[in-house]
Amino acid sequence: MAVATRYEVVVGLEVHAQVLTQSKMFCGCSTDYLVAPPNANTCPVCLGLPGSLPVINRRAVEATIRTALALNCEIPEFSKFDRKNYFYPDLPKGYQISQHDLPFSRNGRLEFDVKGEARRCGITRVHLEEDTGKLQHEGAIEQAQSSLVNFNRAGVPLMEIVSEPDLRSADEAREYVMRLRAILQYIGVNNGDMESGQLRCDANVSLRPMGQAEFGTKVEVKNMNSFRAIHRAIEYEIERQTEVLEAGGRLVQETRGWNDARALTVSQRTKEFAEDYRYFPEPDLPPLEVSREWVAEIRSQLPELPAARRERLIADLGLTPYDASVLTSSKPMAEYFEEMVRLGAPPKAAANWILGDFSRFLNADHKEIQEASVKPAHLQQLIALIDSGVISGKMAKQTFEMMYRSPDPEPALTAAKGSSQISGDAELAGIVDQVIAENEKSVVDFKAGKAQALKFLIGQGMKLSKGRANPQRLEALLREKIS
Amino acid sequence: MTRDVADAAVLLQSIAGHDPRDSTSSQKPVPDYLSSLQRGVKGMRLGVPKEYFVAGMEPAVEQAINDAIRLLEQQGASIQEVSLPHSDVALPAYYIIAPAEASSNLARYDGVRYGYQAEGAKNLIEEYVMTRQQGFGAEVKRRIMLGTYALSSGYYDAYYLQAQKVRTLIIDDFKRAFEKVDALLGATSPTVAFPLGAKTQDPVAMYLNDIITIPANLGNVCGISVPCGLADGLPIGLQVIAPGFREDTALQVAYAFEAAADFRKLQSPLMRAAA
Ligand SMILES: [Zn+2]
Repeated sequence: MAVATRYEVVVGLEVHAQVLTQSKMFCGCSTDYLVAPPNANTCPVCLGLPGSLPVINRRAVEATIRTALALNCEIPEFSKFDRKNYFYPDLPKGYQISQHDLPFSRNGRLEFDVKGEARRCGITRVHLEEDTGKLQHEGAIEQAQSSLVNFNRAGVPLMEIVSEPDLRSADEAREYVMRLRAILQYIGVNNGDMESGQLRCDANVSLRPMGQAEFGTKVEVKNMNSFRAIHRAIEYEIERQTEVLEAGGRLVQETRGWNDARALTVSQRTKEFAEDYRYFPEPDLPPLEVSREWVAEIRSQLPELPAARRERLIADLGLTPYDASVLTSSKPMAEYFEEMVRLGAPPKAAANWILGDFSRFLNADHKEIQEASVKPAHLQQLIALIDSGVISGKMAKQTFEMMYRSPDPEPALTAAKGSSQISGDAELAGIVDQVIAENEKSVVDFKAGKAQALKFLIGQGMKLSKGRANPQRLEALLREKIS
Repeated sequence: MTRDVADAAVLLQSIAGHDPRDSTSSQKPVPDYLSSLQRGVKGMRLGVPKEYFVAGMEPAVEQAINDAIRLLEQQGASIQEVSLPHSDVALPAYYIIAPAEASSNLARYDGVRYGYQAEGAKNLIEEYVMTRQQGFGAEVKRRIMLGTYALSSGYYDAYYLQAQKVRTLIIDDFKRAFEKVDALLGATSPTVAFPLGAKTQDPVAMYLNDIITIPANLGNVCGISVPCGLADGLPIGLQVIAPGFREDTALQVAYAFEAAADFRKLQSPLMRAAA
């Protein structure tokens, strides 16, 4: 790492996020492309048949503006779609309808933090375009004798969120994407699934000598399908570029693909062979006027965003900035946490459990918190058992793992409650004697026929036993002793 | 397109209006074109753009147009000369914009999903190249190349963007002219039809035939062509241009002319022979 300090790392990210709409960007076909049989969700428009024309999906535009507002962007009054021309079998029309010089938004910013330290990254623009179909090669792409194409994904609305080259490390880049993903989930425009490609990220990485104003030669890195891949690919690229520069070499402007299995980037295309997309205004769609009333309406419907939620968790619940950041980085996790607190769990303990073993198990299983069998109420009860001294911390950890591993966490939780229960009459006798000695009036009341008094005495016994007494045995012994 | 102006009005009546599957179609209500057809041209102000009498116009065409203008004047229209100063640059602007769009519109004919597909291609690029080389005709390929060039990086501003600016000038020309007149009159083409293939080797000469109709294609206006005479047995067209969404006016003028001129006399000997 000694050499790396001589260069400043410059990273800008392009994130593609599919918009969660029912229908496609320019036709009425369903966007449910993952489950449907190949080419089932297609029509003349998204197949690019001659004579078909696009009609804009208003909800996709709305989602894009909502995203732009959540990222503090300006929303110009006029916008238009353009054609990006290139040939590829997954692109039915031979052009992609995208936005070139008048996107729906520009000049935003995203605030996030790296290990508790505040950072800010400029957002160049958020624009809307259509996704392509998907090719399926017979075997490896180089040797394939034929390829099949599935147009179910063609025409699915896709937002492109372009950042300024403001990121200075792989850590920052990863945190940026995590925060961005959380925002997209919070506002309900994207499900944040990177593995299935509903959220994709490309990185522009360059180095420049410390103190130099102009940027170095940038390399675009593609094919990163997880936060970990983003981090590793950028780290790799920083190292590779540093080595080239250190050896007195020159970097070429190119596109490189991240190969996760081999943990390296591979050159895909250099600038000389770069496509000329021949952008021009889409003649099939009139320019759009984005009314200020519409923007105001969308703004008024924005929910609480991660940054605001983070502040609230710190101020109202006393969480550390770090815990609050991690918890709010995922909407389901933040909601899980808040539900536990609502049920009575102490915030600090709830955060510790979620961010500790629970997250570790989830990460290992590539699962999201909402998929776990352990629900907020279960974990809250487990914490209550520790707090009331029924079980030890060590035992709670074992219990939690049993709960987590089972499709139904109830038995493990009930067993924990029962495992330390005092059912033996010899042990309970001591407690009964003490209750009777300390609550003479209630004993008299019970003898006088007041059933309510017995309930009170049982409660006292439970309290004395820190909840460990078997309530049925306790009641039986109390009745026996008093009568 | 139709046998007479009334039929053209009927046809337009049925296809005009908003199409929810075409975002570029207007939402404006459609007027009743037939009811205004017979109102005549009495009191109407008709303009004759001096630029539409282009160099190289056939004398017989020029004569027929002048006769047509006189006939409309006799029907009570007032005639005045007007100017559309940017008419000369309409043709070059059109032959940038239209091929640019065509080059992109025709990209879908790549042999992957439908249409002609070349055989024997060894890889994807070859398949594209061979399919498009073999499948398209010479004029289509010429326009694809023109359009691709005009949109290429480094040329876009000089060609496509410039052509769009020219288009704005042409739109403004028409706006100014329609402040003074209700409709414009001119020839549809400076010559009558030339033999098939006669100008294939000289595309610019061929494109020049469009010189008087092209401005209407770019100028946010509407137009109609009606027969107004014969030269060497071939029909000559009178063009009536009206402001955007004033098809009723264009139809009204064309109908008045058609009614005043004895339409049957204008039938080509070729057509009579066929009949
Ligand atoms: Zn469709």
